[in-house]
Amino acid sequence: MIDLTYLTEEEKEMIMAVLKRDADLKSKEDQRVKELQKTSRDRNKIKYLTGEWFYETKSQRHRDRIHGSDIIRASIRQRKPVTIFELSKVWAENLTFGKIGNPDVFIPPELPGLIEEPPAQSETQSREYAGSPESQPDGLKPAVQAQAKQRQNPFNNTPLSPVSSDKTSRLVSNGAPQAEKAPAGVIYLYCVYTMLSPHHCCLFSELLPSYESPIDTLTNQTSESSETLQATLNVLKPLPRKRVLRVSQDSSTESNACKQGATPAPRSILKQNSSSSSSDSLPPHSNYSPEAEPLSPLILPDSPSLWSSFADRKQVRFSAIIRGRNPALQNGQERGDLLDQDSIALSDEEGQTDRSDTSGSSSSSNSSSSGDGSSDGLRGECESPVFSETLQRTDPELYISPKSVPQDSYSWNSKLVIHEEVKSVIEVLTISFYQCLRTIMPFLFTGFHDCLAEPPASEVSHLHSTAPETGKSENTSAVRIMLKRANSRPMSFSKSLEDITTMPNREERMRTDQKSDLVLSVDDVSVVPSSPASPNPEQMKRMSASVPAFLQQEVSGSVMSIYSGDFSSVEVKGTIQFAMNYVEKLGEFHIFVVQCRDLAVAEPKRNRSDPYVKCYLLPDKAKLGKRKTSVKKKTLNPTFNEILRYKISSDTLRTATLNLSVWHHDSFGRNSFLGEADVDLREWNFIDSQMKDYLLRPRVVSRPKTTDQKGDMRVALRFLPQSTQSKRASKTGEVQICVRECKNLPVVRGVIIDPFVKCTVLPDASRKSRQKTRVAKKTADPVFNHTMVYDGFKQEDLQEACAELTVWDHDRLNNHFLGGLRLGPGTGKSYGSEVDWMDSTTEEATLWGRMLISQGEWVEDVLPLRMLMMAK
Amino acid sequence: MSDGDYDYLIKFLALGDSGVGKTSFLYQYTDAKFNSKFITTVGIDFRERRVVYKSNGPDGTAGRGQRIHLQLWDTAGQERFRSLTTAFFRDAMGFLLLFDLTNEQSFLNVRNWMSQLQMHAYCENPDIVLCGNKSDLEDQRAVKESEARELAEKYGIPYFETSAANGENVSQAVDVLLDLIMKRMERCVDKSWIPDGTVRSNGHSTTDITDTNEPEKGKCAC
Repeated sequence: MIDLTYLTEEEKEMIMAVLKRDADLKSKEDQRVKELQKTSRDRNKIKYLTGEWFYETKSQRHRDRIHGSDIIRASIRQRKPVTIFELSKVWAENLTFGKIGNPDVFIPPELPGLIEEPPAQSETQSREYAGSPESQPDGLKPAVQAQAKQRQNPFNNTPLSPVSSDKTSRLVSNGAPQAEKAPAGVIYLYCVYTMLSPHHCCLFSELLPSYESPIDTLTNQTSESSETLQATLNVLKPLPRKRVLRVSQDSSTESNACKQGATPAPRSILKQNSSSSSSDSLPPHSNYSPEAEPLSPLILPDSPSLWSSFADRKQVRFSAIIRGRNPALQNGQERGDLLDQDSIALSDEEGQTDRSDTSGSSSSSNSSSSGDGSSDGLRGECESPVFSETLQRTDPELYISPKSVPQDSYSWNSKLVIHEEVKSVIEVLTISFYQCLRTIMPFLFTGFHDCLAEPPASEVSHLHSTAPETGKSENTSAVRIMLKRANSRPMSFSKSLEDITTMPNREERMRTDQKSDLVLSVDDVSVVPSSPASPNPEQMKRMSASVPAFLQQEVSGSVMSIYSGDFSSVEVKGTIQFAMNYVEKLGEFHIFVVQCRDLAVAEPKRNRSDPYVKCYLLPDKAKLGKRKTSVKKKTLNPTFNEILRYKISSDTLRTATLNLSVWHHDSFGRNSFLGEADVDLREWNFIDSQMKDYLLRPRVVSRPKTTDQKGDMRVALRFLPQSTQSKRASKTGEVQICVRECKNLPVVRGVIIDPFVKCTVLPDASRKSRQKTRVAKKTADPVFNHTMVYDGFKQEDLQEACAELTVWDHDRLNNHFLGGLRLGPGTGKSYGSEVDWMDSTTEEATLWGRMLISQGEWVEDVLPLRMLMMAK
Repeated sequence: MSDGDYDYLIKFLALGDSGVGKTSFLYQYTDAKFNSKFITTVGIDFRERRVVYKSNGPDGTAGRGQRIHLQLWDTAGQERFRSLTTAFFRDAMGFLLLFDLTNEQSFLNVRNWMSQLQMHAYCENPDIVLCGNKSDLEDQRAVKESEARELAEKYGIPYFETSAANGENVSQAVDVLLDLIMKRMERCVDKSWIPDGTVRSNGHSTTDITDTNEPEKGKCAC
């Protein structure tokens, strides 16, 4: 629940009206879903026709099916609590079990509202386990709500027996805002709880919102009438229970608290509720009278089957009530990590406190709610492994104390009188009730996890021993197994948190990587292999990953379009008309895009193009982004009359190249390239601002390097036919490469670079083949004089090999590619197969040739660095 | 309209700063109207629309139009309603995250909204479409399209520059989101042979190099 007290009445009304509309829509949807379920269609199809796919995924995280609207509705309804007595009247006709006699028990504030709402509709209870209860608070009219909605929690199908308690006020106190109001709800919970099978209990706890509440409350509960607990448990399960669901009770409200036929189980719950406040013990159920009319008849559904079915559930029922319930109110974090621990601890605690309780006969000789002290809270000796399992998953361990079953000789088996018809009614009631309570109980179980500190293992046996019934052994082990299982279950929540946090980190890192200066000019970029038939951004990005320099653009995404991003190949045609102007005063470069004529059709199906113009400034230094015009729909002759601006100094501009491209805008972002035009601004006189027409050209992937932009390297080579390293005469020689120095390296990183050189002799691209020089600091003219030796080469091999030298700028986290050389024969082939890297220029090949000729002698040359395609 | 006579009920939720145009956006989408008066949404509201979706993939329902009933939740952007609106995040299958192109702060807050979504939505990676609204007010633009696209790419979500005033890209944005959901649904259900309850965390793309996902690539946690 959320605190919505700040809303004005008017606002509340408005919101309620919206929620009402939503409820109407939901009900219609539920009807539709119901109908669908009836049809014998393919299960899968039904799943997504009904929206089940969504709820399944959602339940991985939220573990409940409460809708936001339910939460808000409940939060808004902060009315004066209705007494349980009154409530019982409402339900009286539907319940065949004992009435709630105690008029002092108050229902939590939300309940009245929920109760009073007319039943939305009745739906068939189709499954035992359904998703989260559709929040029709209206569903509180149990009889009418005989059917659970598909998505309703099986718990909702449990009968709800109002429990009376006269200690409502004490129920939930600590820290809970509506402490006073809680009791009633708790009581109800308790009632319901007792009637539930274990998984119902779980659901119940699921319903209870999780708030922080000191475990102390739970722990402080003095366990009281063990009998009641026993009784409760008895009611709950057919097998000897391991865990006692304890509801902390006031010691005062001893024995026979359950007067009104309230089942002990609810008491436990109540106890738990109240336990949220540290020192409160759960009074309400203390009214439990063992002699209270047994709810057991009603309660005992086919417990075994329920248990087992529940056990089969992989999902933990006891969702972390605390978590996810009210995102807005979460205690800042997921409690996933607490879950297992808590559950285990809880179960343990129970055992302990239960001890006293179980003193009585298992068959609930006493009905008084055991005012269990402390950590008991709601602890139940839940027999069912499932139960314990689920319990462990929730922060507040909700255990139903079997002892709370008020019945005397209340043995599970003997009381297996199930009134089917009533059962269904009650189930519905329960479900709805749970729904309400769920959103209502803010303080339940919050402190639970605190007391769930002890390892269960030891307790298990203890618990076991306290179990009144026989046949404990199997239960113990079962419980143990469940505990183990629960413990080992991955914490999906914390994991999801992890994912949340790591994702951005990764993204961030990527981002920062890309924030380096643009290293390469467009020319270089375009050297990227054009092989992919339909280069898509992702592919290109992948490729570019191997050439980090490509990624180093400020606007990485947009630059993608420089060399790719084209989704469909269109025959380029047409012209573009624009004018250029530099405004000295502003220091801005303006491109006035006038129009395009005779563009190609990008979408042949619809026979249209929606063109827009994009432009880049492509120097190798500036980090400017792209500019775009608006999109002109459905025209092959668009007129733009738009000015694209760049803030840039005239000096920088002089070295730049303006690249204008025309694209077809696709609504899904798969834009098509329609042509481009380049203007080398070095040839622009800055004065001519005439509108000119330019022919649109297709994408030129490999552009010849125009001038020396990358600097050059002085390198020396030598080939020794006989390896110097080998002791004996070897048949292989070695190649020695001496990187002397580099000059005029492109300063890609703003003002400075820290260059170094890497070398490898292809075709051996393995790690051991790679060598590198040291990093020269802050210079564009580094001197290395670093010799690298590669041995194992025969003369013939040299015809097939190529020494690849690459110059990099070392940046803290990354290295930026600056340029490189490929010294080799330049034949394009190596050992018979065509390779990319045998692409030495004439100069490079010449040097390599000289090396081969002047055997053993150094040959040296100054070679211009160039862009290399790297196949890393 | 809402008479159960449809194939799917899909719920979307529009979120974003106050005044970015969520209500107008949805109003434009459902009624094709625009009211320039600013009436702040009180807490929460929703609109409905019936559409027909035609999937174009090689799945069982290819070609046949599916009747979709859209429930479009409209959340208040105001801070004071935050706790209330957040409660609704869990119910939506898809999200329209809006910001105002003429308001830089609203764009900067997109990050926060994304983290809110990741926290409270029904799964860690719900389908989201980012919309830079008020694209008609070009002269007041304060957010570059490139920036916005970059952000959207970083999150791997589609981006649209929309205008509730003139309707530009409004339907497209919602259509894309719907498409994402339908595709995700199909993927989800296809995997249904895998036993229930098996938690298959979906996390992010394993190729961390190409971390920026394609837009519209949704992931399913089932």
